Amino acid sequence: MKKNSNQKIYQATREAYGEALVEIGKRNEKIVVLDAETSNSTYAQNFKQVFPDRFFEMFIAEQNMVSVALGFDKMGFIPFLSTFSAFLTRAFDQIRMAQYSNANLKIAGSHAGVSIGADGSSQMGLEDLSMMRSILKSVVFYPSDSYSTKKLAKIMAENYGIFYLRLTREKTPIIYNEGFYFEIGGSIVHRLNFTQKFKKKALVITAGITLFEALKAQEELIDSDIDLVVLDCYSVKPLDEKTIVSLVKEIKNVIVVEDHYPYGGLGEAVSFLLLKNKLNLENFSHLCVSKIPMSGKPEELLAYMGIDKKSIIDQVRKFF
Amino acid sequence: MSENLKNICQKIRKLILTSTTMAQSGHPTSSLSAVELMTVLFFSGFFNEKNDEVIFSKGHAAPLLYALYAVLGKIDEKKLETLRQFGSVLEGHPTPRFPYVKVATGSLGQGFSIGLGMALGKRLLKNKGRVFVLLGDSEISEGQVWEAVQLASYYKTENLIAIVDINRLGQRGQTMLGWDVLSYQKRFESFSWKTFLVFDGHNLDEIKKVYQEALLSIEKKPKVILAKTIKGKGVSFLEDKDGWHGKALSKDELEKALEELEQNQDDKIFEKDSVEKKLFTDQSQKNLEIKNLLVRLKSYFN
Repeated sequence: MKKNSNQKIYQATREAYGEALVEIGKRNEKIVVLDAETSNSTYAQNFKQVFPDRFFEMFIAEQNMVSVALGFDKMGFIPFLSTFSAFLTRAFDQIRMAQYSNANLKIAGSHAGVSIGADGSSQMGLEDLSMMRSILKSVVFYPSDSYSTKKLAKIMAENYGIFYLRLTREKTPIIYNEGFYFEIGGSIVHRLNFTQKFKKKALVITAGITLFEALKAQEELIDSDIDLVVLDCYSVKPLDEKTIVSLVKEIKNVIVVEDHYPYGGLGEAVSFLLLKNKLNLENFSHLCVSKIPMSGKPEELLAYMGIDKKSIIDQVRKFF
Repeated sequence: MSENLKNICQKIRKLILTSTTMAQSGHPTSSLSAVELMTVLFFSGFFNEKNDEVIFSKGHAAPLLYALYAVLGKIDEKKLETLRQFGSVLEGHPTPRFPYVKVATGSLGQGFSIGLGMALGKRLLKNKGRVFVLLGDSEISEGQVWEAVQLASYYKTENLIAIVDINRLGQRGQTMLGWDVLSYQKRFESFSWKTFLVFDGHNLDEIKKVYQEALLSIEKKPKVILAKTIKGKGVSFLEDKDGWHGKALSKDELEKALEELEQNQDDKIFEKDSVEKKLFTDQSQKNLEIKNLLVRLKSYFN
């Protein structure tokens, strides 16, 4: 953790994952952790240091890792397995097959999105939400900060089934604490205005790293005539249908922002939900990764893809 | 004992052929090649149901798996008639809907890695049991198999025993190595596996001897039994023939095959084993069994 000039505390969600594993491992001796040669990046190494007997290095062999984890599951263990989200895609068949074995797998994919920056396109997980959402009974989490990551990791350990936890490389501010409640199918609403005086209202639905872009946009618009409400959809699947529906009944201008390709991620999930609930909108926009990425600084890539604070504000202004 | 085993093998062959013909699909020939390998494992005291695990990584040999459990008396033999039918737990490839398997197989190579995970899990549990994994030779081409091979040797999972059914033929023709069992051996040994060769994968005594050696081996290495087998073994017009992968026999072909198996059937009646006693009380019962089967078949097809 480190403090920046604003005294905000920052920690990458992947680092929080490592700390969470240790906490979960202390409470439950059935937890085993597998990682494909990336444990110093996913922070699965934290678990290894405390519970060396229950940590299994899988080396760079992701397909084997997923099936080995399933073997542990069937011997009564609860396996957490991690690598870069990009490389999990090469084990999709193994994940797909695991659902037919009624699997209890806790999958963590780190370094998701273009926000990893300098390492370039080969290292960016931009299809992982789509892949993991496509598993019939999966649960998909995409936490933004350290606190929510720890809470969601704990939920994964305590609930049966195939879970996916999407993790970010960059450090992000810790914005949540004991005052917030996290659950499967939950979300967190961020509002700055509670009066009804605004005629112009917009809703940003997002998760993970882009939540902070949305919150920055919200802050910047505070003195404007636009009320921007931000929804942290950390539970990408299942979505918090109730909250989304009630918000959209109130706010007819919706933007979904995600560090993911257009297909199969949060945007498509939300648009289907709106259609299913026959909710009429005035405006709908999906800000996502719709160009082939390249190396660069995280903020440069978020700007290039049009998923940063400025792009959100520009889009909001276009609505009115 | 070998006579008993031989009769069990013939019985299992009949069940494989009949159930797939009734289903009008399935992989009888891929099942027939591993009959002896699995019969010896299940019926010669090598497989301890309480502690051991068995995975058919070659999931398409499901008719063999179900026949074994029918002969064991775990499922009703009549249930084999529901193979591949809607609602039946006897699916085309095994899933845990069949209560005697823990994992779904059929996407090749994966059962092997799952077995490795189970072997590591057993070690962590301090469970003395073993994990047996039946693989096909075509399956060995999967990259994942070699991911598992190298990791098993790294973790020295001595409780993992792979059995490779080297029947030479894949779905469309010969595998890369065919019956070159020695090349398979070299490859596994180069990854520090302990290898055991079966030159006739249908010779019960040879298979038994090799299982004994493998299970008595105290080397802290994963083990692989490489067995040369014949695809479609037991039926002259199926044996080692191209074009029979994933294809069930027609009713007429089945009748011919069953007759052939009958002729090769040993007439000796055995008494010791209760399971077998139940199955083969006397010759007339056997004939009756076949007759009933054919009647059922006819009604099924009409």
